[in-house]
Amino acid sequence: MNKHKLFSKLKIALIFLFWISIWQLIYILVDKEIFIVSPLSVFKKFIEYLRLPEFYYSILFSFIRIFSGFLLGMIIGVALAIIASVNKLLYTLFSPIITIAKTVPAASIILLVFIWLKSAFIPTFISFLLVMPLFYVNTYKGIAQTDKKLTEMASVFGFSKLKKIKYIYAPSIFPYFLTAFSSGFGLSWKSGITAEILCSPLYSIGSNLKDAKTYLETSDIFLWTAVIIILSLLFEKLSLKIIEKTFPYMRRKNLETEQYK
Amino acid sequence: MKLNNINKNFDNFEVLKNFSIEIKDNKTTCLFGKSGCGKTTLMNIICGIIKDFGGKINLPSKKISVIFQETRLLPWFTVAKNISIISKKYLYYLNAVELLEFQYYYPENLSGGMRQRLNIARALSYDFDILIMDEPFKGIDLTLKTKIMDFIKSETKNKTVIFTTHDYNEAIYLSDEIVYLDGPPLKITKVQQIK
Repeated sequence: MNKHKLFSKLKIALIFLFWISIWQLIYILVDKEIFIVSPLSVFKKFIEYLRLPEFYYSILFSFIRIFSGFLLGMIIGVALAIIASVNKLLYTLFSPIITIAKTVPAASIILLVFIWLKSAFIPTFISFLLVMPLFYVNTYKGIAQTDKKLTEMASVFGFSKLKKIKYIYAPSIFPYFLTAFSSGFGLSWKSGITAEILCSPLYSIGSNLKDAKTYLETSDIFLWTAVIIILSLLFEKLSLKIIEKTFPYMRRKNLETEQYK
Repeated sequence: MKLNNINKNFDNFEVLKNFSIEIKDNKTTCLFGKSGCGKTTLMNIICGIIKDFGGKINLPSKKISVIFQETRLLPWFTVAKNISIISKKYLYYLNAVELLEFQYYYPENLSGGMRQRLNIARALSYDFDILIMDEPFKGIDLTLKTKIMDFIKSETKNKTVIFTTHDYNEAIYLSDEIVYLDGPPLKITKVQQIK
């Protein structure tokens, strides 16, 4: 490991330690376990939960529900953006739906969908509904921002449609796609868990959180929250690594977005 | 190749007004004129980038290659990949413009002159019948310029070449015919036979 990497890892560890200390300090100042628990008791709870099969089932099923909604939102959002870029009439047609999907509060949709769907499908649907416009808007923007001079060059050199997509459009859209991917991932977890809390499907992180709140198990609330954060970050990093490995050249240039520097 | 009564406006600004010209086949024609007189617009019409114009072009259906004024390289690909997606003989062309050792570089890591050389190599690597060069030697240093001009000459034997410049030495060195232009709107002031 080189010096720079070591320093960067040390910096992350120090930042982590700093915030854990702040947490511990607040715990000492408040001194009431019902309001705030210590980092140590959350860690103990975590070790305790690791022995329970329900812990893994809850994580697995929540992940399946939320991630399937995320994937569906990604596929449909990208597909609609491509269609809307080709046909301006369809773009105008989709606009009100996208605006509504972007602005309606997740809780309103959850309550409405609660009447329509089985509770197990609600987190998937909510996750899909919140992520889809994000992919749609970003992909559409990526297509619109594609450098016209490059597409003209491609026409001069007789690129086929497929070649234009592969060599010009896809790399141009990619930074926008990654932005949607990163923010969408967090959003799908947040909205999916909220939906689980409200509709309590069997084996879910959300219903565990709801139970913890009902029985005033503050350490459980902290633990499940930490699990959500860790899972969301872990899977986001993992997915981005897979994308990077699959399309290495797409990480280069068109790097106006801060995230890709 | 004949262009008859070509008209092109940008908003209300007339760049081409009833402009006509005949380009000789298998010869190198230089369109010589000051910056902003409308040469690039004319080139863009000939190579099909500008499609909304008035008038008629009598262009044999042949393959056109272009050395663009702005390099138009794909920033996400290496030097080699920028050409290899057009021609399998990319190493030969990279060598000719002295970019072989930079083949794994990305355009953003090249100087302006190097990017222009890559632009030239890409255009020459395309299997063309007509070559259009719009200010092709911008940023290329003098020592390399002559070498690249000689390479272009050798690659364009018996092919139709149209190029713009405002450097008289380039015009004399490469052309069979120089068409002097003024404008806008673009007009021919003189035609000079060189060879």
